[in-house]
Amino acid sequence: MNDGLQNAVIETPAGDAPATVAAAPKAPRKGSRKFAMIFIASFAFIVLLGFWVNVSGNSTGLFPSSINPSMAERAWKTRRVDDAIRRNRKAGVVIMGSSRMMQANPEYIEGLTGQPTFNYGVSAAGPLDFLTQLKYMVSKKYRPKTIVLGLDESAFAEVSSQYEIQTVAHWGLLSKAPFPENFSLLGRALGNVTPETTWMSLMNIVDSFDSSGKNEKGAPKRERNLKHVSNVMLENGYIIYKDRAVLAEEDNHNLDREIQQHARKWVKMMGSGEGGKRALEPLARRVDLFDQYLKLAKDNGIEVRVLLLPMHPDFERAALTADMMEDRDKLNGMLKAVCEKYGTVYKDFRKVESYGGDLEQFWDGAHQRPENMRRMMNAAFDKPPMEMLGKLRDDAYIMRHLPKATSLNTY
Amino acid sequence: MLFNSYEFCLLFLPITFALFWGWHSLRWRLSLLTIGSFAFYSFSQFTTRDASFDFRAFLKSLSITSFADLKHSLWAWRFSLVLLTSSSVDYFAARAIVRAPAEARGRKRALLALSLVANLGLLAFFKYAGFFSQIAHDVSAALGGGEIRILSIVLPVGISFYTFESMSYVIDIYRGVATPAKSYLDYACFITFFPHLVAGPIIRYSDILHQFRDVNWTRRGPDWEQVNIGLTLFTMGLVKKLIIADRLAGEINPLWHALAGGGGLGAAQAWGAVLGYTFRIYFDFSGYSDMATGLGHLFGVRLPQNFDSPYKAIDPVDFWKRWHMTLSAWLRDYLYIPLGGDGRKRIRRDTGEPIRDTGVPPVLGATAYENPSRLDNAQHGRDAHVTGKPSRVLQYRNLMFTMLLGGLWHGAAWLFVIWGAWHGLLLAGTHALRRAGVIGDRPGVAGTWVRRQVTFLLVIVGWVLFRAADVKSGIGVSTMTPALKMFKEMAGLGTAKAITFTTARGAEVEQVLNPTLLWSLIAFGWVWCNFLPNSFQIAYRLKERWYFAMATGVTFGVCVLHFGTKMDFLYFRF
Repeated sequence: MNDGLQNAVIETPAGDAPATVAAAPKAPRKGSRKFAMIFIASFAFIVLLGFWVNVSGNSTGLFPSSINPSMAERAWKTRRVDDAIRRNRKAGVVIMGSSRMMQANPEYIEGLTGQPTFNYGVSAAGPLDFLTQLKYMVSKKYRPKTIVLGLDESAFAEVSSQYEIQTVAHWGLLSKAPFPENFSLLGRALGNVTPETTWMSLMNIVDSFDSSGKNEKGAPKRERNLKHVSNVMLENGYIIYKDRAVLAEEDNHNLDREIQQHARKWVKMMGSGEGGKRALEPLARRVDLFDQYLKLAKDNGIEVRVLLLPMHPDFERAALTADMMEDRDKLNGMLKAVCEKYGTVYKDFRKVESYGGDLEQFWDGAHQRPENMRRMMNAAFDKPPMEMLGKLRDDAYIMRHLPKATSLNTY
Repeated sequence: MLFNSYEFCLLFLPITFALFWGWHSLRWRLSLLTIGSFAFYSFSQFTTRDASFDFRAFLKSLSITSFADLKHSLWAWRFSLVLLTSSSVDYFAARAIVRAPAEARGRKRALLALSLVANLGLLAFFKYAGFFSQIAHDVSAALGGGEIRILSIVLPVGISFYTFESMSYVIDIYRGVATPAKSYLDYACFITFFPHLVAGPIIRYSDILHQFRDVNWTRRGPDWEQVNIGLTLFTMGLVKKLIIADRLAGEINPLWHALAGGGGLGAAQAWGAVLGYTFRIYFDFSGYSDMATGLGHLFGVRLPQNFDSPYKAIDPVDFWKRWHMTLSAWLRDYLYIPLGGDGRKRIRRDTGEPIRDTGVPPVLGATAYENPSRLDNAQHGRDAHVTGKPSRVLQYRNLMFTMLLGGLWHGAAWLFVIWGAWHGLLLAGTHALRRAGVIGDRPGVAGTWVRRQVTFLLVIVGWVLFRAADVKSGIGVSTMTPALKMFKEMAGLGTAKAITFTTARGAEVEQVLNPTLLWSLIAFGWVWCNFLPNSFQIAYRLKERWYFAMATGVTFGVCVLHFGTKMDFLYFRF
């Protein structure tokens, strides 16, 4: 090396920034240990208190108790499955998928297929949920004739949805989750505890102790939850978004605004492309779980009809990047191949025209209104989309004539 | 594994701490930290992918039941092998240099070259292969040549940090200014010591060596005073990361995304996005460094300070003395000075011999944080003087080159290079103004405030380039487009109004944002950075009162309850 260069110095980019530390250790001061112990005790107290409040108040719906049962969809719908088994009223057709399938009206599909129908769709569902739900049903000898499975484009991607952990709220369901995902779900349920959930749980506990909230026998009144009501879930699993039903009835539904808000949520969920992540790239493990799902269905003589669900074209333009479009095409090819392997019916409904859908019949960028869902179900069962083949009652009408067993809050 | 995760704070850290102090043996402590650090590093490969603990991926990597699993396992653990290979090559190269006779200069030089080629080769392959293949592809396309495949290689976490640390060891040994490691275990523990492994501070062997042998490590139980400092620093790091940086990220990321997606922001939102990022990157990275230093203290090891209130800097030279201090010191000692610095030479006062070392002696009499005036080390200060005439041209050239490479170190993208060039210009400009007497070293109160805010604005310009480098542009979009667009928006010259997109019906839908939280956080960050003492100043002036312990413990507990919303650290990508 050139000595002249090596020896040069003075004005440097970092000036005289120190690059090292160290000092002769001093004798510990009195009280040093006490400080650490008080620190640990305070920390432990806060964390334990936080968890206790979350378990007792159950604002997340993940820690059910007799005081605060879980109203989360996965637990709530699985309790309906338990109920159907108890009453021997098993469905012949089961709808599975995400919130985008929760609006497939079982009442209409009963007319379409002649089979009692149950909508077991749950928010942000992916292969882990489908497999867990199917394993649970099979273990309870609840074997429907047909399953209609609607798939989101993000179902196979590395998107860890918070909804997934609702599985923890039903221990029977959790016990059927594959290993090691079941441990991951448990860990994530604990990780779901935040200052916000703690505060909401604390409010729930305060409500429980509120004397005005108790009836004559001392039990909390059901009405106390009414202030939180947003959506309605019927016993057959059909969901009604209350606000939307009202807006639709008043012809006040602003689709543009809904699409825009949905696009913002999507961007937040999928990330901004920081770090060059491919948000919709299918994961091998999720494909593997889907494969297991189809195999389990086939082994139990259950026919599965798989649908790749549509998005509104405006939403696609606003929220889907070129990478995402490319990965969605890749997913389509992969699904076709896996379904062929098990002789499963597969329908690519990415384009709204493929099932005669109407661009106005969307609630937002991806959730469709009952009319579009009806047409899609017709097409799923190889029937003409426009034909009315069952009873399709208006959401607002249903809300005014609610049957007894409904969930008042779907979270 | 992230520092801000349950598995780290409630499992890994307490277990490692208890085992470490539980057995009074140096070999045990070194072995435990090395093995523990490798485990920590292997976990980090999973957790940084989606910022959450992927237990499935980890378990899958342990249980090999099929060929697919085998492939997955090799994929998952391969980065630990990269770390092992890099550190082994350097350890054995350094040992061979030490053992070579003094007159075998050629052999020593060859061994140094071997080490440098190995380290820089790994860095070039993992970090820059994609970048250079992209350049080759573009050049080939422009010249009408054949198709060149653009490589996409996953970056091992922390590679930029540990290769620099490892290289500095071999260079110091070659120069004869560092004591060689006593054993491979010593060296492996230095390289892999988990607090600094993934995102710095960039340490040198001479920082650590004596600490492995001093009283802190040979005592039976922990030095509680050090533990308290560690707990306080760690807690402050968590607050910076979870309460400020992550919340800022949630607010500004959609804005940057909207910009990259073709939407407009308007001047107010653009400034919000840029100021938000300015504070986010500081709180994120300095929060990580505080946690790392705090963790070091828990194990009786003092890691160097990495941030010293950088937004209080009064000029760009001052900024680089305060921002990522261990990187700037590394660049100074291993790049700028070897390039010739400003042309002057350092001479030892006692012997009159030229000084050839990197200027980092193994032991200092006091630490930077114990003496706010920040002691010069022996060779740089008290025992050295300079001779010769400074050369402006040489200095500006070397500053520029050093900062260009410093920019490239942050990431394989042109915008990082441009960011480096911007800071090179600022440093050269500051030196020129100092020489011309336009600015002095000790301005008055008003002068300090004015210069601080001007420096802050100049730094912000750099952050626009830095953040834009991370924005994924669409196909056919120029590299500079997001940055230029942001500058235009900040100047209020954006052609697009605050529009997210145009619907198929032709309606322009405005982006509606709630700016209250964003601007509150920005105001809070500005007050914190300008008026409050930094973490080191707080932690090292710690008064061990019970109420302070309780407040810190409660804060730590509240931070732990935030772990459900964690994000990964920005500097994990570099």
